[in-house]
Amino acid sequence: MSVPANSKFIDHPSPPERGRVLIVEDNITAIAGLKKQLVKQGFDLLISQSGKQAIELLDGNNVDIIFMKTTLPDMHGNDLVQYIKTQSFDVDVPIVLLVSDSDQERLLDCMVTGGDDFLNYKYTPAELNARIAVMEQLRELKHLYKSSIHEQVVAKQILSAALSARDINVDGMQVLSRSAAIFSGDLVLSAYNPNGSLNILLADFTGHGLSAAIGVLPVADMFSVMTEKGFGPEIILKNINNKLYTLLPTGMFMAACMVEINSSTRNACVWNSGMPDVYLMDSKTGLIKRRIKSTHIPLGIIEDIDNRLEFDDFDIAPGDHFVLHSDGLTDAIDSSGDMFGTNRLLRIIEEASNLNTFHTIVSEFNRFCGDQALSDDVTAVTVPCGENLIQPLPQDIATNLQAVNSNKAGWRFMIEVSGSSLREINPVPIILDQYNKLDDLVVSTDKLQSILYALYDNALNHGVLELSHLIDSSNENENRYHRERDKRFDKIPYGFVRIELQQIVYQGNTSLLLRLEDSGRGFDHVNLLSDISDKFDEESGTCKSGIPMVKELCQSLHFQGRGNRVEVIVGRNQHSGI
Amino acid sequence: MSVSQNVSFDGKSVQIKIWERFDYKVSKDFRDAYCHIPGREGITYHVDLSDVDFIDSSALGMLLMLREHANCRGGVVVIERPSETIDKILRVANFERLFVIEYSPSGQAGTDI
Repeated sequence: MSVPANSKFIDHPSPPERGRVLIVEDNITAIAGLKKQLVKQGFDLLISQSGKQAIELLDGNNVDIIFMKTTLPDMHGNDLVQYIKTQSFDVDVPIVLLVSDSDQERLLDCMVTGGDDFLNYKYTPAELNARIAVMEQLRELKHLYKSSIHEQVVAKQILSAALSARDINVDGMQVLSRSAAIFSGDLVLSAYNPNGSLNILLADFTGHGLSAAIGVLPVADMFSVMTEKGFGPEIILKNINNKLYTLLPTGMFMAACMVEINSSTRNACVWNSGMPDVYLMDSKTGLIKRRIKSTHIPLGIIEDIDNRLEFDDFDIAPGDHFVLHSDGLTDAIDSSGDMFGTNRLLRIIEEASNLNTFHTIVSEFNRFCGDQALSDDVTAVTVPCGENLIQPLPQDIATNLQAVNSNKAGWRFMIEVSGSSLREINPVPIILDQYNKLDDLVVSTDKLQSILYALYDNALNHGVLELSHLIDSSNENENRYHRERDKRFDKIPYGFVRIELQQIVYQGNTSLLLRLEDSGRGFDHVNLLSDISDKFDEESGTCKSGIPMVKELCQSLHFQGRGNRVEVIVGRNQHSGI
Repeated sequence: MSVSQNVSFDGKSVQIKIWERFDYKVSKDFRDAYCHIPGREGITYHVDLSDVDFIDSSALGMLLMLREHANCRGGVVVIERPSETIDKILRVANFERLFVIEYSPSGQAGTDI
């Protein structure tokens, strides 16, 4: 950095400069006056005497502040202001208009077009310095604003990409979504459960904009991943609640409603925590068939949401459809101060024909709002329960839940996973989820889970995949095991595991009967099972350590057939410690 | 002024009243109404909503923050006399499970829980 030898003269202070000023002025005296003051303040100067020259200078130079005359020899000051404001410079450059007493009208024009401030030619040095200080602050603010908008746009892109990766195509489902800010605090998610049911989540975070959108990502992740793994709404909602409780500061929460539509069993259940009513429309009458009110505290407020969640559970018919919306829709205000309101929405959805509900809501809402800016995020969703909604299930999985009439407390549940689904779907959570929905659990879910996992693991890895000889405890073999396992999946297009769960009465007690059958070759269970707990593992190499544990937990365990079928009975009071 | 505050003589009860719009714009005033009260235990915070005609979700958030503040100091929050519209909004969020809501003029019976 060069320091002038005569640095005691402050007329030419050394850099760092304060910035660069462009003066657009054709009066030499006026230029000289400004120049003297601005240089003293440490500014670097560009001077132009015409509009055209000013445009050229702006093209190649960064300018921090512009001082300009309102009447230029070659163009109206107004036009130059307009040009500067519409060019995409890095940041909006503040403009100070230089005016004389007779310039008042032009001044007004230029200020309306985009001038930021003005200065009378009879300014004092103090006035000029004050203007400069204000313009520097303004520039700083504009810069901050612009970079925050930029950051939000980038963040929005990231968020949208993450959400669209999770987006699935649901036949006939339609979504209206309008944001009050760059980010929406409203969120619509949908995913299929491997049992074929469709889960829809509509959520509304407190407020809107970036802070409201923070929770969106983890919620979307948990919802999709857990649904695809076969977990039911109850467990998913509890997990989301716990996550949000730890994540969100007090005062922020997420209102949500979740709809589970099971087209094959013609049944749906809805859970509502702080959202407006959810409507089920009757396909025949076009009227509201069911209205599901909020019965829960929004998510993220309390640590443990109610132990057993209240789902509204009811029958649906093909052609019925659900209407869900956020309060932004009904609370929207038009230019005269009227509210869109629930009554208007009810009238619209009852008057519209079933096929048109969504479009009627959208067109009525647009007509109502006109160009009004929204004060809250608006979402409306319609989902048909049509037969064409039947799940895009992997072709080779079948589930079947039926009541067994011969036994008055009985029920039976069967699931078969086969072919490529074996690699992708874990049936255990699906079974546990169905089991959880029963009123009177014969054994605890945890206990059933331990038994199921052990038996399924055995049926899949030892039975179908025949990996027994590769399973040992050394780390070295672990990689080989996983590689081999991957290969085996491709080789067994016809493999299957069938799991059947049934409530029975065994020795006078209500018990669970669990049957697993796999497509594997089985093993010589007659000779090898005489002393299961001791010799099973080492000698046969056919069964993993899970089996002795299962034997401990249940009342009876029998292998059947060629060793590819196992039947287990679990009673209510066995080993209550688990 | 859209938020006012009164502390009782014994310091055991704080009356917070909000007028017209209870939304994000009053968040600082609302917080100031309870944050700077000298650290006593067991204060009852009465939030008078009788003159509120609009409430948004950030107001629900403010009530939750007051609830946390009170709970940490062994106090309680009583929401008083919400209008029918406001009550409906509180009930959609099932806030009657988190707060005592009183409908009759303060001091009288009419607790809903």
